[in-house]
Amino acid sequence: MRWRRLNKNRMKIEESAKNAKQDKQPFQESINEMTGNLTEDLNLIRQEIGHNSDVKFREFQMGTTGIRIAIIFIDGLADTDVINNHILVDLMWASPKDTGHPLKNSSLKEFIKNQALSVCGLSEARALKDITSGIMFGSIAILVDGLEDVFLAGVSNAKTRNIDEPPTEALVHGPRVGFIENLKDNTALLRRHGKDQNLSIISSQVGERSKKELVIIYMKDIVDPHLLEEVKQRINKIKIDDVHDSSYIEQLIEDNFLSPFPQVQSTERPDRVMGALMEGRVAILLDGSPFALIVPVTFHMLLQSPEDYYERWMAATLIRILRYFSAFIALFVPSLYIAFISFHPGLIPTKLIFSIAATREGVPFPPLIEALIMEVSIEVLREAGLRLPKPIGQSIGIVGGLVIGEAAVQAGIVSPIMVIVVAVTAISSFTLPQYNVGIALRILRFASMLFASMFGLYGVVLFFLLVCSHLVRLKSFGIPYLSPAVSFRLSDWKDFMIRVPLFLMKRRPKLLHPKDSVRKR
Amino acid sequence: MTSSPLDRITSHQAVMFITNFIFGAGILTLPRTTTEKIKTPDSWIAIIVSGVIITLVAIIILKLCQRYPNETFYQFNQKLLGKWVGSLLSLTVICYYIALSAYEVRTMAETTRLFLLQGTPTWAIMMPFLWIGLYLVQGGVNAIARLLEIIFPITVLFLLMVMFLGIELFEVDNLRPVLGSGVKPVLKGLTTSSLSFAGFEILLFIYMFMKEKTKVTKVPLLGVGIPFIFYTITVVIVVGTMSVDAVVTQTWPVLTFIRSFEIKGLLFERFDSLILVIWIMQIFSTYVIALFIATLGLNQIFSKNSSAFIYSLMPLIYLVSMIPKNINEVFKMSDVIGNFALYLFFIMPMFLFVISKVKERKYEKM
Amino acid sequence: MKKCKPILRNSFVSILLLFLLPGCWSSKSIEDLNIAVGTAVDKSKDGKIRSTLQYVIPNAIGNSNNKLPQQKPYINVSATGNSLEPIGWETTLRREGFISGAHEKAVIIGQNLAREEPIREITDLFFRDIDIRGSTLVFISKGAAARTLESKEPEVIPAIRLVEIAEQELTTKALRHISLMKIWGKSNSQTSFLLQLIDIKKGEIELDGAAVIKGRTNKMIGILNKEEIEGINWITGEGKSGAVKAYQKESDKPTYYQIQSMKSKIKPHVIGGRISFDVKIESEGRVAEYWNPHFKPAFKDKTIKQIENATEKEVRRLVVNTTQKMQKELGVDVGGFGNQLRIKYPNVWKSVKGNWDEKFSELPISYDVSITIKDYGMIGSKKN
Repeated sequence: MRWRRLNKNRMKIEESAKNAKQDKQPFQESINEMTGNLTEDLNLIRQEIGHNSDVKFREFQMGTTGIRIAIIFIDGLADTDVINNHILVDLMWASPKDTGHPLKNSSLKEFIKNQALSVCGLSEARALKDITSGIMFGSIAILVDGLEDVFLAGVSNAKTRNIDEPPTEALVHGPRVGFIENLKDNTALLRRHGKDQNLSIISSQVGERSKKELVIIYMKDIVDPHLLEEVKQRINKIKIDDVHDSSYIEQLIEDNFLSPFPQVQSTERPDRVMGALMEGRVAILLDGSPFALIVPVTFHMLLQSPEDYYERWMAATLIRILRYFSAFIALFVPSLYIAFISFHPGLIPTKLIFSIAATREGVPFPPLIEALIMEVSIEVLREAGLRLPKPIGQSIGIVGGLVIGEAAVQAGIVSPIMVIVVAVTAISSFTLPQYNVGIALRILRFASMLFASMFGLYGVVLFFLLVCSHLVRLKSFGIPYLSPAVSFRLSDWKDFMIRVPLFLMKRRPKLLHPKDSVRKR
Repeated sequence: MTSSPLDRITSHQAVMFITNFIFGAGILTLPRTTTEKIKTPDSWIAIIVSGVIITLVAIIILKLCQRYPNETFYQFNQKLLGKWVGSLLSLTVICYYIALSAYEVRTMAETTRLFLLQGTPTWAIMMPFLWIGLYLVQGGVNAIARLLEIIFPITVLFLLMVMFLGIELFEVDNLRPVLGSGVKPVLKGLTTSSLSFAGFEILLFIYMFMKEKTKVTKVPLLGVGIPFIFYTITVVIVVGTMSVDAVVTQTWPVLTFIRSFEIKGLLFERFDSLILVIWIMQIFSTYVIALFIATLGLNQIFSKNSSAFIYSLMPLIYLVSMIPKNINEVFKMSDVIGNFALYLFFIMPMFLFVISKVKERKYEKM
Repeated sequence: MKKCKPILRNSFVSILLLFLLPGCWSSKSIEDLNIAVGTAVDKSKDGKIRSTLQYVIPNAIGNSNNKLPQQKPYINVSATGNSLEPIGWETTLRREGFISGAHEKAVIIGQNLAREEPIREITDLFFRDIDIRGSTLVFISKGAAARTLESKEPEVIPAIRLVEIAEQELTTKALRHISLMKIWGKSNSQTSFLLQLIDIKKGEIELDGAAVIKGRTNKMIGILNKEEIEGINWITGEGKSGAVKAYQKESDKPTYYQIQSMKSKIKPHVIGGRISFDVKIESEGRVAEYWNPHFKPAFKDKTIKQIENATEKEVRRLVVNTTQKMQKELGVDVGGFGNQLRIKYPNVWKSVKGNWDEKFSELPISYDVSITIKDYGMIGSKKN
């Protein structure tokens, strides 16, 4: 009951807020437009953003006409090259033909736009909001005395990183390119990587306060239109102040926020994005984030790496199978160990039981506590290793592993078998090519250990069934998460656990319902 | 339960449904129950014969369903038998499935307690099992179908592996003479062996969800055929290894067989853990399917799509499963349920089929 | 169910979590276990049963850090009672830890006990127990069974060593190893069978023949020595390797035929109500040792034929000897003849199976032995 009342109150507050907003608007609109008078307009803009120390104003006269012009830009963001060599030069040296009539309004605008300014990215604005946001984005505002329209020129040329191999997704074989923070650079990278005229890039904006540009990328003739619609709708529903990174978008558009499994894939590699696009998936890039999002995601994508395609099929197949095996190990080995040691000693070979019992002599903790101690220590070490500066970080890994483990065994706190189990698990989880899968498995591993410690092997089976039931219900943008493993389509298996030679991969995976299902080979 | 009529399963998944449902608690005791009645090593012949008969009945059921392509049994039996009789029949069927789930869960709890967790109370074993099943059934028929597609290959793989690892203990002489005492003993065992195929009838309920409705004779064929092959292999190997006299005395002959060999040096020397693992998963799938069908029935009889039905079935199943007091009563329960199933699903579909044909002719005459 | 009321859902989850509190019920940590690998059952002085359990001490094996020097890797704990179950519980009064039978490898029954109680009952606990596996081997010991679980050699666990020796089956002088699984069916159907016999020679165990268990009473009635075991192995065709004497006269110094494979087929014949058996034995092997002073080169076919004949004669002697013992002295069928009759003539079997052992003693059995020598190793002749 109380819950219902709280809800009603919440709805009331929302409504009054909405009304308040509506009341505000008409008042503001009256001073939102440029007047045409240079001094007044400059004052308007100065009131809005003039308090910032990096906003620069430059007034000058246009060539021979003497018309006053002012440019406003952000120091550091705006491209000074464009300002110095084009805007200032063009306008200061502008010499319109003498027709006898003074240049005014439309003819003035025509002249500046079509004849004077040699800048390619040119747009016009009248509303104060548009102008100030344009300046904040790095454009150069050109105010002309007598014109109500304000020109916005150029794009920002802030300092950015060099294009380099992404640190989290380094491969042995493959292009050493990764996305950087600037959206235009990223889309350029993508276009270069996939020289296809069907590569479509649609832009939109997210964020209520700081509007960041976001692009949705897809292959026009391959993608399933329903999928595209769904993506667009979900992005439109995002209502948040500021989107710092693409992972915000990931969290706001995913299907099931309670699931430990990622339903959106993020990557820094353009080749991965291109591969996904070719299959009929949709990619999302956010300005300011080097991580591209790929939807929809299916389970096997999390265990794939672009390297699988760069190696020959035999190596790729075997390494893939190895990865699945490692995932299994990373998830189940500690729990199986606990289950067998505590509950079912009869199920292990006799000689093994003697060795294990011998090593466990004198260990004060039951296997579950032992396992938890070791696992938690490994997690702590892992997190610590991420924060330390590079040179120390490496050595902590080795020091932590060897010395602390050895010392723990000598002190009799854990048994050596436990150390081996935990080490094997940790190493297996590093073979997984994606970081967020690793996290999912780490969480699940603890859950499986809990189940195993309560119910032994039966608990492990229950846990397996629970995870499978969850995965089987999970959908990513309408595609069942476990395709193509389940919903058995033999043709999709060509790229699932094995990788058949390239000449056999003639069709795109059916699970994404692509429009054009033949890869043009 | 959120299974809307738009959920579709492929024929392949339909085969999984039937196969997994048939594979249930019966397999662990199968060699004993059949050999007890037959008293000769010919129980495998009884299984083959009953397998063939059941396949035929399953095909008749398919034909019956094809006359009502978009309705489940609960809906079209009302058309054939009238509203009240039909609803009564549906309610009986629902009760049967509730009892079946209870029996499956109880058997699983008993064997788990016996072989894996001797000290754990029965309720603690059953509760998580029931809840995970509940979680899965809420995902609808598609989720269940997909889980079955995961469980089935694991089961097949482990079962075959374990059976053939033990083959060195196999002595053909234990199976001979074939038909030494004539055909009569085999006939005596037919009822028991048919019981182990109980579950072929679910085509009545899942037909509505299938994507392809024509040219699907292979569905009942494969659906009954696959368990039938496995049952035959299991009985042949277990009786062959242990001999008739030993089999009839063992409570769980298949498990005894698996524990009677060790492959030294191979990772696990002992393989009964594998069998128990797959067996728990198989019982889970049978239980989940039975739960789903019961919920489907309740939804369709009362024409509501409420999740309250599933939640209320949980305690009911638990209570029913706690009814037998010891393992003998559990076996008795299985006999009762099995015999009931035989009459219900053997005779009734044929009966309905005949009625539907008669009705058809009536309409044609008019 | 995404729109489920939060309170219901939350309470559901909290109740679920409550169940985690009691913790683990059946868990027994591995170091608290007493791992029993062998059991010896004897008759004790006051008519009761004395059972000795052999536990492994894992610390004393292998390369573990905590290894204490000079410690035996096993310990034997025994007690008396009138059957095995109460004895087991008695021992827990003396020693900490749960008894784990999951790795039980060998059950040894003393001769005195085997002659008095049916085997089926002595081994009932082992069959019924959930942990003990059907692959456990069963033996009878000539003397006190408890002594077979002792060994003076360091780092040896007697029960495990016994099993390893039994599983070797390297010579026809030893019977195939018998596990619980094998005798269960036979005990129940009142068939006679054999169990391996152990003797203690110089403080260490040795396989020495077999004990004969009569079908009807399921008790031990006699012993077959090593030579008779050879005969049994030839009759059943279960020998894997070994050697056969291949010379006739003592003056022909030792010659031995090494068995590489053997096959035996028992054929029952029922003619006019009279049952008889034909046994066809075949074997392939090689010449292993040839001390003949008048060395005739093996390269010659004639020599090979002579050796083959001598071997055949020896094999025939062995089987006939054993058959005599089976039929005349002991009056049991442990060669599997009844089984073959059951398969070929099930109706006849039905009428005779009641007192098969007695009937069997009167039946004629004929043997046909054929030996093939495939090669003779590295030496074919001797240069004089």
